[in-house]
Amino acid sequence: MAQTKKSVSEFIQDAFCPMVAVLCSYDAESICRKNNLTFAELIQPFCRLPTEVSYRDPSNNLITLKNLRLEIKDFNSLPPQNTLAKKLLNDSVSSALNNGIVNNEHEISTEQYELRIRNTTPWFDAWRDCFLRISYNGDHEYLKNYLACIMVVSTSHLDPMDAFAKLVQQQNLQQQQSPAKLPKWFMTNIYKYFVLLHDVTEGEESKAVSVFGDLKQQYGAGNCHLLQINSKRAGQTSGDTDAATNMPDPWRLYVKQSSSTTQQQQESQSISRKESSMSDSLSNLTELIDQELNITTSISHPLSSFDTSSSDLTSIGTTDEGYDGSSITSASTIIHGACLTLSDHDRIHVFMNEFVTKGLLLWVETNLKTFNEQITSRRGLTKFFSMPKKLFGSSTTTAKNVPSTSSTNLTNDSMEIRRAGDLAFLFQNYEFAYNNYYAAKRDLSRDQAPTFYAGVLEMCCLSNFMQESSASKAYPAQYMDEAIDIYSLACRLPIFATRCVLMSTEILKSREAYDQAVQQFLKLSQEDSDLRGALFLEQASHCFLNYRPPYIRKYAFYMVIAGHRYLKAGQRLHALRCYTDVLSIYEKPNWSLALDHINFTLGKQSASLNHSNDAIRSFNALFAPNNRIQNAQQQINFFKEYLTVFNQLTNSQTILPELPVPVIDNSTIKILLAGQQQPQIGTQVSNCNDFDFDETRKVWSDLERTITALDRRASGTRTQINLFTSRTHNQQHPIAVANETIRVEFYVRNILQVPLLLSEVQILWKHSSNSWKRKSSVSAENVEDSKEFTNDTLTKQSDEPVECDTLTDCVVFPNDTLKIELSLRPRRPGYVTILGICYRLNILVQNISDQTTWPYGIKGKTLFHVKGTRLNSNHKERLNVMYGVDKRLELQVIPEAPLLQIEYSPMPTAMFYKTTEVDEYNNCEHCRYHTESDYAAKPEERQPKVKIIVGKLQ
Amino acid sequence: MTSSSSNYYFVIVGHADQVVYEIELGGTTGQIAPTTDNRHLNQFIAHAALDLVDEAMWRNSTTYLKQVDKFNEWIVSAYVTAGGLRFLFLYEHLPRTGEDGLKNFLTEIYETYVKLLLNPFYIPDKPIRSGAFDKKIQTIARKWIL
Repeated sequence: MAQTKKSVSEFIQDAFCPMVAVLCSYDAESICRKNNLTFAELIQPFCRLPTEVSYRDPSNNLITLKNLRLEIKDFNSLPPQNTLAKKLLNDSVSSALNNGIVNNEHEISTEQYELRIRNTTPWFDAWRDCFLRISYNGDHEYLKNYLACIMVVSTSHLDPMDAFAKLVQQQNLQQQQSPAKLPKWFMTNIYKYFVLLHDVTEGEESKAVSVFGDLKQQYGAGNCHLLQINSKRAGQTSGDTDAATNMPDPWRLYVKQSSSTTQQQQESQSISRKESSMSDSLSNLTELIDQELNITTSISHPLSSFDTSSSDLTSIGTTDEGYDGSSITSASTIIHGACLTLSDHDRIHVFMNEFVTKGLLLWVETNLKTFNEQITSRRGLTKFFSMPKKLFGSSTTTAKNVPSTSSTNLTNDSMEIRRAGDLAFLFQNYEFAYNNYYAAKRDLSRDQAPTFYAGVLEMCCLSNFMQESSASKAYPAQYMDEAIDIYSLACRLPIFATRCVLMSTEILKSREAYDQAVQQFLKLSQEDSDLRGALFLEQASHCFLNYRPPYIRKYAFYMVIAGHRYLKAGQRLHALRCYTDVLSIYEKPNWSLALDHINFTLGKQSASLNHSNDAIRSFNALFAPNNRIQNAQQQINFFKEYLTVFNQLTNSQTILPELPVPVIDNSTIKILLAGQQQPQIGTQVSNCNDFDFDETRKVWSDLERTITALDRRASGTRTQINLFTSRTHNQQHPIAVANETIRVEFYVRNILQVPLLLSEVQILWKHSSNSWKRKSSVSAENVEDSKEFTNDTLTKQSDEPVECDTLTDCVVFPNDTLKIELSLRPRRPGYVTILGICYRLNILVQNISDQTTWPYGIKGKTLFHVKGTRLNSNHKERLNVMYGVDKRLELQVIPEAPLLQIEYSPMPTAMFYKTTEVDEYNNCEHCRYHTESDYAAKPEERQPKVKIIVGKLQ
Repeated sequence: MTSSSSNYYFVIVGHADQVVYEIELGGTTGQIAPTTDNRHLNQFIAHAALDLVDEAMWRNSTTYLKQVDKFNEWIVSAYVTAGGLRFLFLYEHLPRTGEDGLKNFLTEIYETYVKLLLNPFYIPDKPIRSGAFDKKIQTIARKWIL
């Protein structure tokens, strides 16, 4: 997986392309400045040759170079400093997070898992490109040394010939000075090319021609070029805006990159100056950066002699977007190439083409020939010496016959072979390169020069691979393993080991040897750099998916480790991405310790990134009811973190957050209308009187049945149901009366190992003056009518239409259930929905000091979810799991009505039909309640007295 | 990771990759190991080893698969039942009774599991929450791992 855009061979070719330095005289630079560009920048967009070019190798075969690209850098440019390099790498990863998101997924489905996997990992590609761009050259190789130097002088110079001579001298001095400083050169006689820059609008044509003539005479016609630019005056462009906007700007990509580099460079410098005043995050970052690349070679990075004037040229160049910047039309403050016309662009194209075909390639051809001759002559010598070796068998003792005198020179000879190989490799003569590398490998043993040996092994593999179809030998994968081992373990050069892994894994992936790619990625994932470790682990885990059958669980595991490393490297977003990608794989039942770990990390990190919804979702999952094996201490830890995060995140919210614990047993919810007028707080956890109708339910229904059977007159009337449970028929809305108490009873269960403290428990309600059915069709005119009230807010409202009683405190013990009863009284008619309960949640821990951190806990809610009985009346309902409607929580409140209260004194053990006597009447002028026993003659025949109170309560 | 050298983790994984039974065993006593903060690591490693177990069980004709996976210092051995249930055993060092002891341990657990299956109230692939089973496993552990 993790496919990249480029093909593997293109990738390798681009990673190693010939380097060319540019040395400019001051006047030439000032001509280029008119375009807001340096000369190196000016020609950079043109450094990929659009046409095929060819040259002949030592055995006179024609080698065709396709898509040759040169890397052109200013003479004074330096590789970025350590800290900056690390920052660049970090930034490349973090900024590439959302690149190429669209259409970038494919599905993997096995028996048990359905996954959606990203096709590409743009952050890895970005990191890799950045890494290859800023990585420097080792002493054991020549791949990134400058092959050639372009000297540039303009015709406006008073004595251009002298200026050229001075530039050549400057280059020579730089190359010969000791100790050697950057930049490094390929060999003693590098290729020099001379460019006479001519400003068409300012310079004289005749002078240009005459100087160019002299130049050709002195340095040879093939090595010189007269480049005419600036055909347009800078002033002209302002008048002709249309033309200016239509001009392509191929520099935008290159220069933007370099300017941001400059900025960062300055930033990092300023950071290092005022280290004391740095913010935490920045210091963390720099620390991370410091670990990033463990550069321990002998190369002196010229930090001290840092030249700011040239800093804007640092590390430009390897983006190979080519000549297509025209499509980008976004406005930029600086216009590049304002003085250049399209014909100027063409001239630069021609210049690059001539430079390569008439100059550079000829030089390459001759040099390869020379190398070849040197090597063959030397090889003849070694053959002569190794003859006895062959004759007497390959026993190790005979190896001593090889003259010991040559062993001192051996390195030099090998270096020459290596140089030849590198040159051939850069110019795509892979067969010649392979032969040389292989010869160098044979010459040297691993112990003599481990770094050199590893480098040769690496290049052996690469050149073998690049020979593609013509490769006579099988790809030597074990060479690469050995090279990585030597680089990372023996030489402690992780930067080269990294380069090896990058190249090798691409090759292995293209050959579908995913298991070997995984091995190599994992080899380097343990090393010091967290960012690289994370990226490699992630790539390895993607490789697991390419196994047949895919190793999905391995993928998940390594993604988790990668996420962990991303966290260490300070890349939070990438860490979140890793964890969320594999979350579903661990959602199989009972991997709860692993799942908790992921959820906990996700929650903590989302919280620190202020993704409050994600954070809360992750934390809620921690307290999910199926989670039973986590121990109490861990749950206390989770809960503490949860409380902290919660308080941070919900400060700005207006509605109450939903809490995961305790769990409400929805089947036990009971609603009792017309409860007691005055709630009495009993010993129970309740704020109203105890009611338990389940036990007496049968008695009540029996009684009701008897009455209906006896009293024919009552047959037309309908019984008024006052109690609603999961077993009653709840298709109708219960009808409550304003100002009368409604009581709610339910059970809560604590699934955690920690006792929970609930306080300020209240019913959560919603009151509206409109019925539920019309809710959807509420028009704008009666908005005032249909105003809804709810206590589902954190702000206290006045004039609430429903009054609630509050239960101050209750404790739910671990793995225990508790019955809670609450009451509410609607104040006005309308429609009241009981949504759930709101409460303040805290944990009860023995340690007092813990509790003081959150003295009030968190305020939140838990909602009721009721459903009717399972439907079973037709075929469809039987096949599916369908439930009937349940309206017990949606109460219709009718206006205040008289209430009849009957008190018996004393309570009779048995009563008979029509024998109750009403003794006292309270407030009953309008009451038409009479019984025949009212007129019983003798007082002693009278039945127990009944007191009837009718009227408004309170 | 602290002092976990003598700790073992045993897990039974069902057909849909769900945990059927898991237990942490202290090597020296056979008791349930004191809980540490890294308990999730056991699960992660065991879960990741499933891929290799699935592969190895088709290569071997035996039920006991020996070592199938290794992550850092943790080694995973596996036993696959005839019904396709996977027993994983996580350890850093082999128990004192060695490879054979481990094999016997897993085989005896399998026998105990088969007895559990005879219980009509136990539904296969559902989590095992039985105190007797716990005790039996610990006894077997004490016998072979001690």
